[in-house]
Amino acid sequence: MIRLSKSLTRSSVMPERRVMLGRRSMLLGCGVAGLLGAAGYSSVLYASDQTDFLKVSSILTGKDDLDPTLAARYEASLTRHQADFPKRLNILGHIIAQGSYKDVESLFASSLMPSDRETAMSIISAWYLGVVGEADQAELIAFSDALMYQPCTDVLVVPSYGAGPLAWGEKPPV
Amino acid sequence: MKRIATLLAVLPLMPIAAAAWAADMPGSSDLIEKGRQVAVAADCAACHTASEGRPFAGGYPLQTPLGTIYSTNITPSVKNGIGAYDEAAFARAVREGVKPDGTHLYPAMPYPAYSGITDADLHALYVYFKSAVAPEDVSPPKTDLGFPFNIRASMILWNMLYLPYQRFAPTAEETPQIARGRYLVDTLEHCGTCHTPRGLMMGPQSGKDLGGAQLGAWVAPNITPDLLSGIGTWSDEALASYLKTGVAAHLAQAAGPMGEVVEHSTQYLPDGDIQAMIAYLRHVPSVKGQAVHPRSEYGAQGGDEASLRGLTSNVDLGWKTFSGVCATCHQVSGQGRNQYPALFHNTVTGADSPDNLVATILFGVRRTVDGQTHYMPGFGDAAAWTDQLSDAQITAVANYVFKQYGNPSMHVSASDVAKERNRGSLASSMQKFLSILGGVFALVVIVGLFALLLRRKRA
Ligand code: HEC
Ligand code: HEC
Repeated sequence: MIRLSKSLTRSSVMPERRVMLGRRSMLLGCGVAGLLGAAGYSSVLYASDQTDFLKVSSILTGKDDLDPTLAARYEASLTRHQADFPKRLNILGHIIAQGSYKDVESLFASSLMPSDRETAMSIISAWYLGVVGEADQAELIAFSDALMYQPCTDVLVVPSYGAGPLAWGEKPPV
Repeated sequence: MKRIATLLAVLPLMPIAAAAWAADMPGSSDLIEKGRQVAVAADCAACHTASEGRPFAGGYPLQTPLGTIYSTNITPSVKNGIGAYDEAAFARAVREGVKPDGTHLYPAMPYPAYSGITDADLHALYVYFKSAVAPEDVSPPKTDLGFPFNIRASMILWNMLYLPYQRFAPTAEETPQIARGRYLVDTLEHCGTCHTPRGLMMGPQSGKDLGGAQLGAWVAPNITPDLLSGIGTWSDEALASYLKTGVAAHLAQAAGPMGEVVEHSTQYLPDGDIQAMIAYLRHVPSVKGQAVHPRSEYGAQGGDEASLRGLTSNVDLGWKTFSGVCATCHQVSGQGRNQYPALFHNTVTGADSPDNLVATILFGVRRTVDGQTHYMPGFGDAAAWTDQLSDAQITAVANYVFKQYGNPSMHVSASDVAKERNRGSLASSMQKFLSILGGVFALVVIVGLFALLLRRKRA
């Protein structure tokens, strides 16, 4: 058992073929997306694979403009922290595909197994916090790109970044 | 040889047209107001005001490798200023750089441009300084450069070569607006003092008017209508906004010496004068440079935030510095926010020389316009110890910014940064001075060699 998890851990760093297929095809997808994006064909690209992390993430977060680079890093990190994450992702992807769930609300309203709900939450948590894992295992992947900051970026600046002098208005006449 | 020297010394002493109106002092308030406007347009304060509380009292220090040079007191103090000058003496100092006692000013004082000031404006200027400026009885520290650089007489020779001794007059071919613009740009505002490249003896290069020039750590860019190297792609609105506020949105900001020009002078010009300058700037002959793409049109929003954030090893030092320092204000994708400008479509990052980017990082930006200060801290030696960036960090971040947001063919080396660090410790508004001084010294050396040769022949 110990040997097994060790080898799995290593496999996430030095990706083993089976585990990383989704990610690899996605990276390939990113490259192609970049090329096509430049030519003006941006959408379409990640729909083919039910276990595709980006596609699952998109349904879980309700966003269709997630950053593929971040997706790859979150997936790799989740795999580093949870050796069976690829399997869990696979299961969750199939549940979503079979139930034709279009959003996280309908998915969570279904009779989801606790472990699948946990998988979904770990993905949502990564995107919103920009962090995977907890306490001294926590791995920071995004800060200003974390989803929790996005709703108010039109008005508020992400903490520690400057909005510029007088961004809060003129100094009151005292 | 001695006789030649005497001749040289006497030549510029030839009397200029005596001013007839010195009698009507102190002037009417209209005249004083006109004089004040001329003083603003001629940007006298930039160099002659060292401390805000004492306008025009001089003492603005310029550290040069040869010693410190101080600007003079031009308040009407009899003892320390220009209180004892009559109008002819005042005119001679302004237009020819010669004090009543015959000493020559270095052309840090832009008298070659001021020599075009009309008699009417000079009169108003004189009346303003004599009657509306408070006398300050302070004596700026003496400028004392070591031999042979203390031979101010060497300026006599330089003046013979480069001083135009010609008043501005409109020509038949130009519209009144363009004429006014030419007067402002070439004479009062002396834009060419910084923007026109200089030749071996630091005289302006002919045919290169406003074609861009090095200025200590900064470069004053080409501002002719050339589409690639100049400002031909700028709209009139952008140019007007730049001169009035120091910002042309998504295009350029005024830092260093140009920040001072906007702060002390152009922000106060009436709109008609701004329009006149623009009309003239559109009209000057284009000067072709090296640029292959307009410097305002490089780069796009983006960066490596998504791929590098949180990584702890093998992280590019350029990104790391950008992310840890610059992004705080210019934001993670270089897009800027409010007062913080975007780093793409920015003439500094799209320039075809790296100087202004490195100078901005080293010395920052400070410009007060309309009571509001636009401020970027510098990260050079003057910064708090905790804020200083090393040559390696500045090199890396400058190269990162060029590659990511600007002209990707620019490359900075650590020795470039070290060089600019030293150059820029000089007060920025008088950077031009050093280069001119260099030319004067070249002259001194040449004259010295010539004298030596003569003596040898005689012996
Ligand atoms: C004391 C020297 C100095 C004088 C005088 C001066 N400039 Fe400048 N100018 C500079 C420097 C240095 C820069 C670059 C500033 C920067 O990048 O922030 C500059 C930048 C500019 C720019 C922006 C160019 C670009 O691509 O970003 C314009 C336009 C300009 N000057 C016009 C003028 C005009 C018009 C005048 C006369 C009213 C003038 N300047 C007088 C030094 C000077
Ligand atoms: C504290 C906020 C702040 C930080 C940190 C900061 N800047 Fe700036 N930056 C500014 C402001 C403000 C301006 C000027 C805006 C203006 O002139 O109106 C500016 C202007 C600039 C310009 C244009 C200068 C010109 O002459 O046109 C460049 C280029 C630039 N910054 C690059 C950088 C780089 C590179 C870094 C990191 C080493 C950095 N800045 C860090 C606030 C900042």
